[in-house]
Amino acid sequence: MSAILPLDWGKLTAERRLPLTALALALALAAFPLTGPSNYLLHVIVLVFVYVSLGMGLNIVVGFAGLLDLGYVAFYAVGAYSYALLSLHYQIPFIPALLVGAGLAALIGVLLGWPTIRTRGDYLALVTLGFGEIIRLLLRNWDSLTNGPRGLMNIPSPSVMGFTFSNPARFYYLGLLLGMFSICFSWKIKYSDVGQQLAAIQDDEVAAASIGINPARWKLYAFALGAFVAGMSGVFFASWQQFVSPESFTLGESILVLSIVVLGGMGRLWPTVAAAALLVLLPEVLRGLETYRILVLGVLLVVIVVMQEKLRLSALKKRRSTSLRNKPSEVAPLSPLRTVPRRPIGKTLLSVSHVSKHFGGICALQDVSFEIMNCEIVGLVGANGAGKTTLFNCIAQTIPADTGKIYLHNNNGKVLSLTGQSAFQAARLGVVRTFQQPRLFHSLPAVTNVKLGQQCRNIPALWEPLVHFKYSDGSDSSAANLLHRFGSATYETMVEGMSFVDQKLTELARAIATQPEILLVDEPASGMEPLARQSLSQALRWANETLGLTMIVIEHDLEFLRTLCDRIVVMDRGSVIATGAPQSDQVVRAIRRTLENPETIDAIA
Amino acid sequence: MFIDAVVLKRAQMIDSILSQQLVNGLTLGCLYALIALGYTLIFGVMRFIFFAQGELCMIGAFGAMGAVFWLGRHIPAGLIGLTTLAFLGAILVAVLVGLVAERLAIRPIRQAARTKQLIASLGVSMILQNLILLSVGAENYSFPSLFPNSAWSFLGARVTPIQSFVVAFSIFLMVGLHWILRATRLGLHLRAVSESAETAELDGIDVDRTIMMTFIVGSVLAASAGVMMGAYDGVVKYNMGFLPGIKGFTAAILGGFGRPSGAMLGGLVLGVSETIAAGYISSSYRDAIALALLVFILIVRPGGLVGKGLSS
Repeated sequence: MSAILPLDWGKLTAERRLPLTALALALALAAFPLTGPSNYLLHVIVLVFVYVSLGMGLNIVVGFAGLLDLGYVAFYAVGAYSYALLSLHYQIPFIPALLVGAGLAALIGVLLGWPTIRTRGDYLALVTLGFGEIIRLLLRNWDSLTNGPRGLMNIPSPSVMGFTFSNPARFYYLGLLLGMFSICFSWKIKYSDVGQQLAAIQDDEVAAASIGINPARWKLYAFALGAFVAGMSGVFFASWQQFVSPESFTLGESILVLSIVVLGGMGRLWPTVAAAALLVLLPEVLRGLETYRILVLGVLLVVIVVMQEKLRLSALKKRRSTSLRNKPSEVAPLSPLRTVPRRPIGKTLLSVSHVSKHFGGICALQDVSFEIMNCEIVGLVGANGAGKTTLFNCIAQTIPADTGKIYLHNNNGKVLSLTGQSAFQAARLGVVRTFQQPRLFHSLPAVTNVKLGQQCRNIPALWEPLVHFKYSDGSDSSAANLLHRFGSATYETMVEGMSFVDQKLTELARAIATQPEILLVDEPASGMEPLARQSLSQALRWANETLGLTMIVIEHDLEFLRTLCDRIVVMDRGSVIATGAPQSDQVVRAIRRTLENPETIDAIA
Repeated sequence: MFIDAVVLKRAQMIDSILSQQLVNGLTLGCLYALIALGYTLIFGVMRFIFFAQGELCMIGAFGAMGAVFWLGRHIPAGLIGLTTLAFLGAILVAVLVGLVAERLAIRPIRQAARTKQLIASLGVSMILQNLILLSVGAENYSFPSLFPNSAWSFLGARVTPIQSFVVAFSIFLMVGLHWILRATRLGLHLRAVSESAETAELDGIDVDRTIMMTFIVGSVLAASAGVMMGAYDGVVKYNMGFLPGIKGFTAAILGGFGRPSGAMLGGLVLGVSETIAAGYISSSYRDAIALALLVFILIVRPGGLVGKGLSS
């Protein structure tokens, strides 16, 4: 999954200086028509510009968002036919027609993507494949509008403020503008907060939702932006060719654009530009190749994907071994356990009432009710299969409960119902969880993981990535501090290849960075040596005392909980069987009982 | 009196058209269901959509033609013998192709991101289609007629022997698949790998082999559908698998992806609604209607027509 985006996200300077390079390239290319090239050569290069633009647009969808769009030229067709019909029938000028064509493509993208992306991402591949065919069939059969297979002819040349693009050299400059615009457009998306959130979503959607990122929204956004670029390219194409027919918008074209994106490394910018140039110029140079074109593209797709995967696996192996060698041996210095001064435990923060959850015939939670007070640390104990993690899933809305209500009483005295909210909404309201198996964004450095947590409630507006450049440089000191506090000294390294314990600590730091009202921690100490457990316990205490963080902690290490928690909740087979202070009789008795229960002992064995 | 007779006659005609469309739709639906089963089976085990299902149909149809023309000439066989030969040839070729594709393109990327797996499987389907295009060209080949050209009447509809055969043989294959999944060791392994490949491996199940077997079963289903498609339409062509491939996928979603019984139901619903829509709306949009149905179903019932299926 990591190879899709450049691994050294923060350090990738060559691509970040892109506008300068693009400007230099544009100037160099602008001089080209002055050398008096043939019209054929100009034509071929304009074709390259069109495919660079298409490649950049599809790159947003496939590379940045990880969605597969196999009917991409349908949006290109929408743009082309929009311009053709608007200019032929209504004499609409170029610029308004450009906006209408691109806007219509984006709108259709939203309408098509909205139902599909919400359900399963990989359905999108076939839905877009089908959509591409529908559009082509419509263009062929809707004679009265599209003139069927014969196509639309004599489309007027574009003209902007009295200047008409009438000869090949002028179209060359218009095409150059289109190509450069698309490059800068997709660069801007990539290095925005939205671009980073898309990378996170691509790595792990559930984890992204757990820190307040709305996966469906940003994926749909990327899909619509890709359609927008295709529509724009289509308008240019129609105005340049002055002729459109359904034959320009076949599946083969979609495949060609997809091959450009895949060959360009999916998510990279300059390599994609190079791939577009290569795949458009090659058939022009090797004329005999035309017959084999789609076969060659098919082989190319398979070979590239297989090679990339081989490289990724071998790189992963290498990184794992180096990270073991450089494993930091020091553990954060120990300070004596403080037991007293802590914030006073306040009013009710979270109330869970009558929550039940079934999986098929298995009853995972049965009528669970309890309350958590402000600033409390509550331990959740029970044998494996008692329903502890299911309870977390239900509270954080990762997997919603069947029945029952969950309320959050926030600091402003408001009572918010969590029931029926999405996971990302629950996270924004302040209910954040970690996972038993740490779920981090593998293609991003540890510190960026934490920074994404900090952005939990700062939701970028839709136009933000396009308007200003917000992606901040280097490592954010507060995120780094937080990571340091949790003893994960490896904050600059990539997550892939980090040790299990470092991953757990990084995930904890990321969750705390969202500034939650209540933090649900799932087995934080599992797999840790005793010394590391102590420093983890201290870090959790620090979060509780200085940040006033309320926590529920699932843990099997009873000693760990005894020194950390104010209260223990004991669960057995889906029900709460006792609550009270760690040393209280009822809790001790209940723990003993669950462990002596023959059925639960069976479950452990 | 006279008017009544005309009205009655017209009512009978519509009735017979409807029943005819039901019969045609049922036949088509069985073919879609077989393709849908292949998608569902491979998706169930590998968790990704293997696009080339439609192309395996096409390969199967060409394999059957090859077997009948080359071998059928030397072996004195009746229609039944030729039909058997056609199926054997189709299955042999499709299984070989399916296995080679699995080994070269799918196995190396089993751990890769979903998008990459889809891209590789798309590449496989393009390679297969274009290999056939380049070797036999873009023309229609007429499929050997293996079935008598008679027909009998059933509720006012014409039912041909090939239609009855398609329905009967599809049911046979579906029952066979059900038996494999539920009552054999392979079925057990298949279901185990589908739950978790890692756990299955730890339990001593050979995951590579199980996945290969899945591809074999998927290829057998696709090849059988291909032979019957060729026999039913009378022609085969290099791109005959493309639309049935997408429609088979639609059928799989209609029935709730990942459940074999759903795939069968989805195929039948799609086949019948497609023929009826083509009959009553317009036949030039019949494919567009099937594809629009795919988009529509995803909007209203993403989990499939009945039950929940795999929705997330």
